[in-house]
Amino acid sequence: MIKHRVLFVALVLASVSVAPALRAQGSRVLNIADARARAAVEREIAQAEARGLPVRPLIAKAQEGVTKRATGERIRVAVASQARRLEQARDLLAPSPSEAELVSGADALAVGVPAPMLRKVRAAYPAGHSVAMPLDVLTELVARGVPANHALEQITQLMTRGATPTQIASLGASVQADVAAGLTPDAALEVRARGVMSLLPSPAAAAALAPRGSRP
Amino acid sequence: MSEFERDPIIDKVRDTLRSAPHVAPDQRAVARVLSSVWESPPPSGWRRFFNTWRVPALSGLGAGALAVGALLIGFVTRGAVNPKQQPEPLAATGAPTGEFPVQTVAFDAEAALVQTQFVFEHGDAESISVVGDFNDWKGEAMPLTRMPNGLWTTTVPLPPGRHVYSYLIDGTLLVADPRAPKSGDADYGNEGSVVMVFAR
Amino acid sequence: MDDPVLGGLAWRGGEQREYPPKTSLMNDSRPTSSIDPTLPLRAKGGDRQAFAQLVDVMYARSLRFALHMVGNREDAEEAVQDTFIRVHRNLDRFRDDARFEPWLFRILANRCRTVLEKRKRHSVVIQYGDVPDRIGAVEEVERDWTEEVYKVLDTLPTEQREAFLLRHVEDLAYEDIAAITGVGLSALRMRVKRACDALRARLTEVMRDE
Repeated sequence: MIKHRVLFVALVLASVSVAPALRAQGSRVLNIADARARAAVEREIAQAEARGLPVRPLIAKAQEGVTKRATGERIRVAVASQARRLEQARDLLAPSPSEAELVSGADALAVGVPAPMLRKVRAAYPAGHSVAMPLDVLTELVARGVPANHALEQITQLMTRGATPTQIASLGASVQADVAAGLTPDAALEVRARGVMSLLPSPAAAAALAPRGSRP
Repeated sequence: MSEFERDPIIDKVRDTLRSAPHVAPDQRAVARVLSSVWESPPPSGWRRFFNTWRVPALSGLGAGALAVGALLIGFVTRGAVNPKQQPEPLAATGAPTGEFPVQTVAFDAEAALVQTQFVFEHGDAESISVVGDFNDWKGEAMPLTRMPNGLWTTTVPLPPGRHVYSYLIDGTLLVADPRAPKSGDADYGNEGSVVMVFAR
Repeated sequence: MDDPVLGGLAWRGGEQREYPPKTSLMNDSRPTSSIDPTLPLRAKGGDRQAFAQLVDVMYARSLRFALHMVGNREDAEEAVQDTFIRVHRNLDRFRDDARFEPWLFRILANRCRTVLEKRKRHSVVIQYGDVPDRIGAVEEVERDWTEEVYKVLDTLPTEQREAFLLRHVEDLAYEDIAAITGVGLSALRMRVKRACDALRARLTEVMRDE
C-alpha cells in the first residue's frame, strides 16, 4: 500500500455510535482514525503493561501525538520509545520507584541525561524519599544547556546536604529565569546553587541534628 | 429475573460488559477526582437554601418559578452571602524582564497541588485551551478565558514538578508559549513550553 | 497521619508506592454493594476521608457504566468526575435513610445523558497525517464477540442501553432503576426487554459462529 503524506480534514457529525474497535478496547487511545495504526498502538501499550509498566503515561504519550496531529505510525514509535525509557528508568531507580519517579526518569532520559546519572540521583536521597523533583530539575537544567555532569554534581550535592524537593525546584526555576535573562547556563547554576546551599545547615550540623534517615 | 431475561446470550453479554477492560481501580484517577471535588466551589448560600426547601415532587412549572426566584435573589445578594475567595497572588515566577507567562497563585496544602496561572496574549480566537502533560494533552480539559484587555488566562491546580505544555487555539492550532522557555520534543518534534511548578 | 491518596494526590512527586503496583482488575465481575452505609452519612457531616472512601469504592464501577453509555474514555471520565463533584455538592440533600448507589447512579446517568446530548449537537474536525490510499474505507477486522457486543450496544436507543446496563451489569432492582431514571416500572421492563431482544437477535449468529 502506498502511503502518501497529505493533510486530510474531514467533518464528522458526532453521533451516539462509536467505532466498535475503539469501544471494545475500552477506548484507551483516542481518535486515531487509522484502524491498523490504532491497533498497533494498543498492542504496544498492552505489551508494556504485560511487562509491568504503568499504562497511563503511555496513553498520555499517545494522546499527545493525537493532539499534535502525528501519524499513527509516529504515535506507535513514540509510545514504544516512552515504554523503553520507563523500563530503563525502572531499572535505574530500583528497588521500588513510584510512577511519578518513573515518568520523571523517562523525561530525563528523553532530554539526553545519561542513564547512569539516574542511579546517582536515586542514591543521593534516602530510600522512601521521592526523587521525582530532583530528576525534573536535572532534566530542566540539561534542557537549558547546563552540561549534564555539572548539573548532576550540583543537584546531588544539594540533596545530600538535605535540600528539600521544593528548594531544588526553586533552583531549577531560578536558573530557568536567569538563562532567559541572558546568563550562561553554567554561571546561572553556579550562583543559584550557592544561594540554596547557603540556606542549608553545614554537613556537621545536619549530621548532629538529624535522626538517622530523616533527611527530606 | 423474568423469562425473557434469563438466557445464555444475555448471560454472556452481561459477563462481557462486567469485565470491561481498563476500568481497574486507579488510585491516580481517584485522586484527580478528589482534587476536582475539593477545588470546586461550594454551593452558594442561596443554592443551599434552595436545595433545603426544594420539594422533590414539585411540578416543572413550580420548580422553574422557584429556581428563577432563587437565582434572582442570589444574583443580587451573591457578594454578601458568599464572598468569593480569591487566592492572593504570590511572587511571580518567570523571566525578570517583567513578563510572567505563568504565575504560582496559591498552594493547596491538602491536595499537594499548586494553583498555577497561565496567561496568553492572543487576539482573535474562538477558544484557547492549555494542553500538556498535566492533563494528558486533552484538548478541551483546561480552557482559557478571554479578558476584555485581550489576554487569555486560566488558573489550574498542578502537581509540583516540571511540566511541558502548549496552547491549543480553536481546537486545531498548537502553539508554544512565546514567553516561556522552550521544551524539546524527542518523540514528535513539536516544541512546547516548560513551567516549573513548586510550592512556596 | 493522612493517607496521601485520600488527601488528593500529586501524580508527579510526593507519592511513594510499591512498584510494580499491585493491580486489582475486576476479576469478580459481579457488582456487589460494598458501601458501608455510614460512609455517606459521615461524608454528609463533612468527613472528607469518608467521601474519599466513597469515591474509591465507586469509581471503577461508575467509570464502567459511563464507558458503556458514552463510548469513549475521555467523555466517560469527565462524566464520572462531574458526577462526584455534584454528589459532594449535594450531600446535604442525601436522606439519612436512603441508599447511596441508586442516588449516585441517578446523577451519573444524568451526566451521561448530557454528554450524549452535547455530542449530538457538535461536529468534530479530525485531521489525519498519513492516510492509506483508500481514503474513508474502514479496515475489515475479524469479527469478535466483544466487538459485536459493543457494536450492538452502540446501536440501542440511549434509554434502552441505560436500562439494560443498570439492570444487567450494575444488577440494580427495578425499583432502584425507576428512582434513577424517573420512569415507571412497566415502561422500564419494556426497555430492558427490547434491549435483550435486540442483543439476542443480533448476537445469536455470532455466538453460533464461535
